[in-house]
Amino acid sequence: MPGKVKVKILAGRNLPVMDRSSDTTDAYVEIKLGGITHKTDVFRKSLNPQWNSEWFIFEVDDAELQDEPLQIRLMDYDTYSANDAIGKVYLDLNPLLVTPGLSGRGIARAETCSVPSSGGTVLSGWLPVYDTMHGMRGEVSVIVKVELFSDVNKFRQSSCGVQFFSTPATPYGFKIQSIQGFVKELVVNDDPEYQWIDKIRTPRASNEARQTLFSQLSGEVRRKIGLKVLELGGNAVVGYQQMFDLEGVTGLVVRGIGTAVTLARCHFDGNSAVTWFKDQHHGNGRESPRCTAISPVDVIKPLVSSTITAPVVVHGTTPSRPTPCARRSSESEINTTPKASSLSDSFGSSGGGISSNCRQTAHRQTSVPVPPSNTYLNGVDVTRNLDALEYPFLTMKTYPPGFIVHVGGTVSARSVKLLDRINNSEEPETRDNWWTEIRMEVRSHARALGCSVILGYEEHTSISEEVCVLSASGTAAIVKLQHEVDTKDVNHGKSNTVITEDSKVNLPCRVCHIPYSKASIPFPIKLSRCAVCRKGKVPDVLIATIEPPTGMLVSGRGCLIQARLCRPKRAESRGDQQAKEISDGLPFLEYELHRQLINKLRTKGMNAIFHLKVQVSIGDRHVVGVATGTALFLSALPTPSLPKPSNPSISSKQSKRGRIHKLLIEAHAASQERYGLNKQLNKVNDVEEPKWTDSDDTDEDANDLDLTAGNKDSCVIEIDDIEDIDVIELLIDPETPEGFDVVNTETVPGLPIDSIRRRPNLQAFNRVWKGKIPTLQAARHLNRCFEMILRSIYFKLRKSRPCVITNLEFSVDLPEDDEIQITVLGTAITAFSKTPTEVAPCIGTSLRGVGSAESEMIFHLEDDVQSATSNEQAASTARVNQPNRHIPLPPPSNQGLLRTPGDKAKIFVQKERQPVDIVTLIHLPGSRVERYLGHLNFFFIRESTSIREDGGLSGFMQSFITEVLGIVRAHVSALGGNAMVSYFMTQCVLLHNPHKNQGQCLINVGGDVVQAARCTPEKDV
Amino acid sequence: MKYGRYCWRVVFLFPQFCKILFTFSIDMECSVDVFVGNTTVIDPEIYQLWVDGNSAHEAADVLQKRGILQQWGANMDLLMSDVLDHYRTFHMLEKTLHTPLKLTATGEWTFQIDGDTQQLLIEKYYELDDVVVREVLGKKLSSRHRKDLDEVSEKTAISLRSCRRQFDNVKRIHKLVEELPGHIVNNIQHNFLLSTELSRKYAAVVFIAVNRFETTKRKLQYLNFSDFYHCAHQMIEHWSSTSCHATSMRNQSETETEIETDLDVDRGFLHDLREVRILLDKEKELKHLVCSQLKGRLTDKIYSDMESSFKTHSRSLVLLAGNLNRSRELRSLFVDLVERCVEPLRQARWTSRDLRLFLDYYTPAGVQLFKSDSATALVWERYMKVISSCLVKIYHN
Repeated sequence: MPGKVKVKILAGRNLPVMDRSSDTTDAYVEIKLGGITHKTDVFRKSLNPQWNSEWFIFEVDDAELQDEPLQIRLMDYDTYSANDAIGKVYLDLNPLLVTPGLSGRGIARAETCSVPSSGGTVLSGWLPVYDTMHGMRGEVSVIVKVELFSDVNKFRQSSCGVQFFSTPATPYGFKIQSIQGFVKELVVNDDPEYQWIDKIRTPRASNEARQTLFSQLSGEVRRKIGLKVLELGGNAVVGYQQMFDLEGVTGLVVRGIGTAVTLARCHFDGNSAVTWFKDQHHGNGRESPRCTAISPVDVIKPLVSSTITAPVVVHGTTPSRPTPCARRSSESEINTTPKASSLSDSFGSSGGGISSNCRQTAHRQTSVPVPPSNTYLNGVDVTRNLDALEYPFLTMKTYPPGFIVHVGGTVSARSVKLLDRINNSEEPETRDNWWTEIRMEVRSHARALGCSVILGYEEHTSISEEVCVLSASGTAAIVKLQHEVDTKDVNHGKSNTVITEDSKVNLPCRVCHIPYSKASIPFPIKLSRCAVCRKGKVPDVLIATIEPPTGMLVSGRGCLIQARLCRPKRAESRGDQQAKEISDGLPFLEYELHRQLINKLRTKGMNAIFHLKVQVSIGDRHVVGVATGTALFLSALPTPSLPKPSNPSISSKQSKRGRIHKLLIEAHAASQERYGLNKQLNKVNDVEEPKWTDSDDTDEDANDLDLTAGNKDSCVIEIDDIEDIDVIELLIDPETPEGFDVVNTETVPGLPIDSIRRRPNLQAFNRVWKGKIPTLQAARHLNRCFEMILRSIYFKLRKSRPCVITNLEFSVDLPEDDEIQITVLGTAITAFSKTPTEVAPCIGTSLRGVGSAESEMIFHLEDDVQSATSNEQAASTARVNQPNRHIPLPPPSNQGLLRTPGDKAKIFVQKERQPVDIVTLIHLPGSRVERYLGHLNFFFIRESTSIREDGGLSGFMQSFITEVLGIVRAHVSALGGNAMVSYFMTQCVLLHNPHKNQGQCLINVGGDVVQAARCTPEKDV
Repeated sequence: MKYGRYCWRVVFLFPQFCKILFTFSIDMECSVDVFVGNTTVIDPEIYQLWVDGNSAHEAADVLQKRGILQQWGANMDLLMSDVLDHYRTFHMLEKTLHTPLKLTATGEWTFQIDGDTQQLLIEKYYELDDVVVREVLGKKLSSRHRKDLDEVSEKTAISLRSCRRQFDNVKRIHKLVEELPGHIVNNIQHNFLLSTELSRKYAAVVFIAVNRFETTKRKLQYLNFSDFYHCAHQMIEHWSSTSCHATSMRNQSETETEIETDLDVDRGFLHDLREVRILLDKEKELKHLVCSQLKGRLTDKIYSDMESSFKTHSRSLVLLAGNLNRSRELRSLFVDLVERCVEPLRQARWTSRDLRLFLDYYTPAGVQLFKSDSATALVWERYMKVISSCLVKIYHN
């Protein structure tokens, strides 16, 4: 039951001067975990103290171990006055509680028992000391060990064995044995910032109270989710998302959602994971040949069967339906349905209406209860299981090949609520019920589309004063049990038979086919024949919140697509009235947003959007909606028609209309050229032609014309005289500069991995922009802001072209009356594929002092490049065989400037530390993830009363974010990792009081710590 | 932060038809505008502008003039935002740059910068302008003089900020290195991670400052920094305490561990130098030796001048050596050299080749006369080695 935490404080360095008279510091350290505090001796008069303390031992309950952060506080000893705080280090112990060799729960526990200090359970290193008022203040060197005793108590409160991944995919080196389904937890607390005590305590005390609380709540949510996972029989949570809702006076809500799964280590030395990913880029082939990589050598029987909780998910061979089990295990299930309805009634009357819509194509749809048609459900177990679950939601964005059978479309639901004080924080029923309501709605939308599960599920809130908008979205889809796919693929691989029943199911275009039968189309929709197989029906546009599924046929390359909208809102209305106004306006906002998105898509000449993220933010005067996605051209879907301007009322403006039309055509042509759409298209058609004649056995040939008949008129832009310019402006995005590929997916669809295959330069970046929106022309201004932000990113990265910007994520806040804050997060991957030949000689000279061995290697590398390019045939093998680049090349454009006069003599900085890469992606381009070392989630608050002196608000923010990233890197390194994947920044709340010269910022960042190895030829083969 | 209003002019150009032109002024007023990467982004070009003491606006102007806007298709707003971003980064970096070892330390987490860029940052930050150093040279590195830097800036046409940076850098390095034992160049290199070339510059400045050599007299104004640099290193090499056992630099590495610093001129050597006054008594022989050698090698005019004023020339060199053990004499070494040697010779229209020839034969002649006393002969050689080299170097207009 208990765990033992051992802490040793070694030394400190670069501490600030706390004693002005002697210019030194008398530092000591307080180590606190839960209620216990230990102290080191005071190390007098030094800025680099050497405590070298004994081992401080904390014996704590493991539930506490999960909830409480280890707090290391550095203090300055004063004989006469109160001791001053230097700063603090918060250590999340959760990464130390998970055993590295995660292999089923029982085994994991056994390992912890026998080998207490195995690999990942030690944390040691220099950690930055952080103070909320002063920022980083030196570093402290610590060693922390955790010894966990096994706990088989049925009624325990802890869930130490469960590993969390914010990675929305199968973690590398693992395979998902079974999916237990959606897990969620919600914890409510008072916000210390709004407690009465805040009036009398110092800002520092208040900030630290908040930081500690956030840390505790985050731990608690994770622990509770972990318990649920254990109950369900899983051992890990993937696609874990944690949100903080700062409701202000009414409190603080911490929500966590994720997907409970049973993970098992792959016994392929992690290679499958790599190939798995690469497949995505070579998805142009007819079917992914490496599906077998996922296929388990042997289906491991559930390991959990011997443990306390009954196994919920039983594998394909077991005939029993485990539904009752699942129902029993999920607590909230028991009381959801009746309560949800009753509560929604009460809220409806209190002013918070519910608006929802479900999008498939350009049509809004209110929920039509159509039961899911089981005819498409081939994979019995997982699907039926998920189907039977209360919430068939999966939070992952990337899935194994073959897992997704059909993609239905995006489903979303929104709800406007009035916040009220949470009276009993132990029973956060209201918030729970709000979310239950909205989840049910999303589920019913999915069912209406004939889909059983929702993939890429996400939840968000936007709060303005007392009104809160809850949104949930996901992609309705039909999925198939994993190993069934595998067996089929194995069959297929063995005998390259002609088109059989199996291969028909495995057609790469299958994913795009509609999941519902034509007869039961729930809403008016235009369907056409699949352009690839000529059999299935496809919609004219496909929109999804997930990553493009593996093996999908994509023509050309993908690009970023974004619709932005701003609606004014009356600021004077309060309470119910305000909620009503927002609620009434939301459908229009969403409709407009969607229309804009579709029109932009058509202007680009593409027909699908993936990784769509719609964010609705409410502020005092505006409601802003931003939809971001990656547009691409799916070969299976019909070629979209160009939007046509129409101007029915005013005939005198004919010429102008023609002009606009011309503009559109030009933009269309430019996009076709830019993303390589036209030539690819022709090629695909050529290839597909004979295929079509072969399989002539389809039943509905005649319907083709009917269905496409309406296509021409489908996209007409109504142009009024005044707003025409706006429309055009909104439709035509300024072109992305040459050398940039921008998407918000993991990789650029259709861009071969070759160009970024080598040791690339990875750069996760945070961009924060805050400015005013004028009340007039707010929509246009908003558009400009976004354009400007994008352009500034290109400009910033101008010297590292060619550059791929992936996973671009926008979030909009409207903090003040007329202020807007846009936070952008992304990863820039700089490729060196073209330049090394030019650069190499230069590097050779610059490293002359280092040693000939290394410079020789560079020239080898050069040779290999040439051979690789010359030999097209062996391209795929050459890619793997590319020699590792030990010396990171600086960006080529900097070469000339980097040379300094005394360059040749510099032999000094040779102990170059290994950099810690941070990416928002789930993989590390150019490297292979070897081990996951835990999930980190930080909450930082920074306050300053000298904003002007710090270089303005920008200076304040820049140094804060820089420091936060620094601390993240330090923790990654202390855990033994060298990179962080799935990096996120969910909160960035900036408060500013210019009159008091004061500012406060609050940031929530995190991600998965990994140990990665650069891809070397030996390991890669 | 607000940097003016700009007109946004969006122009759609059609090849043949028409031109829609709509202008509207948008106030791109923003309070926060930052870009933070995991790897600290350093633009060498903007960094150079910052080091040179340009303000953000000046830097943006310079970049604009270099055509960066056309090159990358940007507008002034973007450029300004980018430059400001960089400037904030540099501002944050500056504190760390004061102690370069911290920047490169393994546990430094605030900035993630690769080794090459770190080197670039340090090297550029500590870059010295010879003209500025010349002004700073010989002055006490106090805050009083820091205030006078605007005069220096005016005189040298180098921005005040850059002058201040250089002044502070010199002061910082001086303060740290002053007390350290061992070789000064190595010390600077190890503590500030500078290139050898730059470390040697700082070493010269620190050497001159520590020994308080007079460099500011009007008569010395014609000397530039490279002259002092040369002389200082000659002295460090041959006259300092660390070089007393070895007249060549070959075994420098072995003497590194010595407690003595090469910042001090070897007192024992200066003491011994008094012995060379014997030469004053042997002036006739000395003159004979030198003249016999030089005859035919110098032009007649110079030769006759040398013959006639040999006594004065020789006396000044020997007397200088004899008095060097007085610290006041040592301090005014450069003044003495210019007053007693350079100026008379210049009046006699010697060329620097003549001077070199003369010194080449004068030194061995002295050695020859000390043949009975080999210790003094060595001292003489050690003295003349530096003096000859310095004289030749500073013998220009």
